[in-house]
Amino acid sequence: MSWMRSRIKSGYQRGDKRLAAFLAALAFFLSTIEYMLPKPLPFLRLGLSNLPILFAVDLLPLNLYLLLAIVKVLGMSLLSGSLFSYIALFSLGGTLASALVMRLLRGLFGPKLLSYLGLCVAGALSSNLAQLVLARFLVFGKSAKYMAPLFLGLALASGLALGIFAQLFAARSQWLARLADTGAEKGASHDQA
Amino acid sequence: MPLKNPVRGLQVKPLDFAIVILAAFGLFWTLFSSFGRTGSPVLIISSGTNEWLYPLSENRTISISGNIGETVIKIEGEKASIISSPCDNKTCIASPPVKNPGDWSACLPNAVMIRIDSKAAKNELDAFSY
Repeated sequence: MSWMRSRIKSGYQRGDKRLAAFLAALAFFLSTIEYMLPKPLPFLRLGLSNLPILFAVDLLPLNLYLLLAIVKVLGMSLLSGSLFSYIALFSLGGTLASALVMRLLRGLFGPKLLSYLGLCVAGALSSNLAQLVLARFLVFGKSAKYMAPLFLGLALASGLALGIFAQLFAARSQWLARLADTGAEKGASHDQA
Repeated sequence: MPLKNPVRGLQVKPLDFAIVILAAFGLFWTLFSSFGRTGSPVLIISSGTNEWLYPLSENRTISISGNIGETVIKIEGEKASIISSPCDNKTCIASPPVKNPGDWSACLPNAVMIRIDSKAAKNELDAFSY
């Protein structure tokens, strides 16, 4: 039944692409909201636009998941006007490190051992650590190590805040539950086919 | 009518705890290694591979050339702050002044960083400064 397998597979991929496009648009929207919010402290960013990537950990295949992360960086860089500067490289490094660490952790540990809270804190830490490493080698040299306490502190605070929000949202959202169910059903039928 | 539980669904899993504890440990370790020094504070300005040291006790204004232009730093009242920068977002100017060892402020677009270190650390720095 190879034709059926390919039909189910292509349908599954079309749905994934639509979902990836929707999550990318959501990341764009949340980036705009974050850009408009006043910052109580310089460098303090809640990372609202990381929420779609966090939920996509369980919803999208790896290629679309990484594409979503790259589109999010492009959107943020366009909004902040830093697309053609090396600031965009920091954004890309941080986002990719965060996305890959969250995906790796989810691949190793299921939802019974690790919730969105832990994933979010791990993602925020990886993002800020990757940016520190880039700052060390590309911009500030050895002085970059003095930035570590602030960067780690902000990552822990923003990761906890966003992780708690994500966990509460996931427990209440019918939209997310429906998406997860659809994905599981499609995955099951794909396996059977 | 009973109030809804605001934290319904907030179930913390074992690895969540492990990650948060690991992060807190890393944070405290970097805090102690950065702020443990004592002695008279000095201002260190870095731009690319160059570094300059200034005593915080003398008021002055310093102009440093960076990637996209001049960053102006003012030392006044044993505190230093960035007062002018060619960057777009001016986050460095909004940062609070630096005065204690371990304090720092930076302009990423112009690649200029200012930080406070102690006199003991200054001697250490002279050994490998550019």
